[in-house]
Amino acid sequence: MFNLIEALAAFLRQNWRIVLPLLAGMAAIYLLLPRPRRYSALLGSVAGAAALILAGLLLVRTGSVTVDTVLFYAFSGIAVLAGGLLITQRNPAYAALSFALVVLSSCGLFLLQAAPFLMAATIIIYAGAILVTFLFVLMLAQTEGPDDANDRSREPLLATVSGFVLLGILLLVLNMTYDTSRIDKFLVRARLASQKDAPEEIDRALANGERLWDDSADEGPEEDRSNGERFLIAFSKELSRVRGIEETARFRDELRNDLPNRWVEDRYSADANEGARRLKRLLARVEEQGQRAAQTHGDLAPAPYNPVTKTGVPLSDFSGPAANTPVRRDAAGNAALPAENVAALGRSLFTDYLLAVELAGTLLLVATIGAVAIAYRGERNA
Amino acid sequence: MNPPPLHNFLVVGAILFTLGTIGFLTRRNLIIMFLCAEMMLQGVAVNLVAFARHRGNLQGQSFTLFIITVAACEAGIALALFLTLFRNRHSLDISLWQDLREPDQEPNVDEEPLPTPEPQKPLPQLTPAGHEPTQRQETSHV
Repeated sequence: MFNLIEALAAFLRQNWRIVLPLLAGMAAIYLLLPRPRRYSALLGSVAGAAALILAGLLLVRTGSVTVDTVLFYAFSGIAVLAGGLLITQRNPAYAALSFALVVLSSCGLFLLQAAPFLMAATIIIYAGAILVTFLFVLMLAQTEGPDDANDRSREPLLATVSGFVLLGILLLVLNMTYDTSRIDKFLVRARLASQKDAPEEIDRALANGERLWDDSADEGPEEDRSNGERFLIAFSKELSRVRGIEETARFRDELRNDLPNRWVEDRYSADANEGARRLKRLLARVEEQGQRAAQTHGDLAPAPYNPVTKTGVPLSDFSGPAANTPVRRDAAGNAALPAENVAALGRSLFTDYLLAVELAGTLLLVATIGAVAIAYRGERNA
Repeated sequence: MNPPPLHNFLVVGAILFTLGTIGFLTRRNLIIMFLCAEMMLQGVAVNLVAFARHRGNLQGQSFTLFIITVAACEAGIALALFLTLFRNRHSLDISLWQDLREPDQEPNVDEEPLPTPEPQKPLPQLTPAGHEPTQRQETSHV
């Protein structure tokens, strides 16, 4: 029993950044869900605002603020807010309008991710066609006054708790697998420190700001480590969370095994500047390797195809580079996508997914016939 | 200039998906349930497009196109079904169809009464003031 509490406390200490917005969001949704005797809307809105802000803090990055990041926060904030409104709104017509808002802002996210054709298609089909038809049905099926359908919820507590448990698990897994904010912090620190010249200044710059290492960086035979050593040891630990890339693993082992000996040499060598230069070279490699690690974090690429030995899987490259080939990236770390989005999508659809396109067309046809057959009110029902 | 990392988009997708799940589980209006299902699809679409950007190939975007196709089919069929259901029970409440539940399940009974709608206040009427002007009888002198 005691172990359980201890484990829970350790878990909370480690993941309070995720747990806090989840709790606030859960309270908000539970309080705002429609029920015959409603809680005060103010309480729920305050909890919802707190959840949004805390979740935003979870995603905030070190580094410069760019147009991209501002747009990302705006669009995703609106999307999540409208999503919350959609499930707590009691008037279905308002709910449909907030769904339109969800669609529009996720289209903004599509545009940020270099998918202009999808943005246009989603707006036309969802916001244009589907939503208007829905409003049409709503008008047909309107009822007056309070209504079982709109003013009651089924098991609001159980559904909210299970939904947020699901979200918590998703966020934890995403955090473990795809979160690169720790590596980014190391990169920023290394970049700042390598602009300095004197050994003491570099040392001070590496420890400047948030503490990147814990006490375990001081373990080992060496008693008093410099900040440079602690930084590199902590970075090698961070790299050990990244799996799969051979070069990163080699760099990590190098840092872990060779470093202590070399540092002892440097410290007792007569020339302090030589040590600083060596540290700067190491920091440059930290930047390079860290960037690569951040870009390939969480990748599960299948084995590359070797045409001679016929090992690996030969994957099609009609929709861009195949999944088992390395991704080309520009200096900012963006993967290269074709500039002609529509043409490239067409190429992908009519080569890789030709059969799927035909099936989707057939599905649409069958759905049209089905809709007419279901809604038909002819002599059968008369 | 750093673009927002993949992780951020995945988190937004996860949040949209879960909000959709909660709405689908709790709401009782057929149309709102359907909108929640569509919101779950949007969350998945955000995920796929983010991965397409991250990997630099268009497979994720192609998948999203198929999601849109299936969503359109689903919308057509669902609307036809809703109309039929509405014609039968004269309400969009899904609990009216709970005879379709498993044989060993307890029926869901609503105990708390709905609030009675406030009776509409009668429109205010002006109190009569002054006196009625006497009207001279019009006579013609022709």
